[in-house]
Amino acid sequence: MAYRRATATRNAVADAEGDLLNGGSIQFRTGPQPTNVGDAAGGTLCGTVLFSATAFGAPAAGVVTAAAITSDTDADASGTVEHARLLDSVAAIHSDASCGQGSGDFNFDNNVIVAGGTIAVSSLTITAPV
Amino acid sequence: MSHRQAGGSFAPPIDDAKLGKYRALAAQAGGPVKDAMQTLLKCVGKWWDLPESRSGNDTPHPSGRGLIRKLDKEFADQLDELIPWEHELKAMAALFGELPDGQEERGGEVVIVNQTAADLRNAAHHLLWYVKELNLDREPITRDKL
Repeated sequence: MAYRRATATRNAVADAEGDLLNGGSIQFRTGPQPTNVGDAAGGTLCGTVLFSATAFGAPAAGVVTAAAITSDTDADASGTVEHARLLDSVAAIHSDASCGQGSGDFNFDNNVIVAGGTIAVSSLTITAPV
Repeated sequence: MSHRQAGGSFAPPIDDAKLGKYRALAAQAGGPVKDAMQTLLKCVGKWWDLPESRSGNDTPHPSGRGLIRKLDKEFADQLDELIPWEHELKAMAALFGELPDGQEERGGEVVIVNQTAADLRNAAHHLLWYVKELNLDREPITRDKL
């Protein structure tokens, strides 16, 4: 039988992971995800949305849901976004994710960013594995 | 992260001055960038000359910002022939992604060092954004509509 976490354990995992993003941000960038999460950022930074000071609410069933994510209302650069980097409050890399049109962890129905435009994301959830 | 999150990109609105500037930038660009931009300009220019689609049955954008308004059928039919195929739009995105952004990082800040390059990249992507919105059969959701 495979290794499994109890709900209380999953809640603790999700809570801890979410807490790391307090006051953090999500950068949307062109180009594919770097080979390794900790590699230097690649592509062009198109824009950044911001987590709240308390980024996520209390865990339930191993899931935490983000509080309001502040949109970027003045995108930095134009490009087609293909990946995102999630950073903590001191801009250290937390995780990364794929972006695409009709695909990816962040699904944009139009993944072209135009400088000066607005970038928004729906509420974010993190789920701790069973 | 196990759930797909919905993102939204809402470009600045276009106007006659920008369209004129983009036509000039396209002409100067040359090669495939010129061809691609002029193809997109035909579509965006046509849309610009059409009235706005009538309201009704607007639906919320999945990102939580803005409303989706479908193009009136008579307008969608007029634009359909001018919208490139999906594979062509992807090729244009790749082509425009190679355009220099005209920026450099200096002293921890990003500054524009080549305004012409920045203008061309922005113009190309702005046109591509508009056509991709129209390809979704909807009125483009610009940031002023949020």
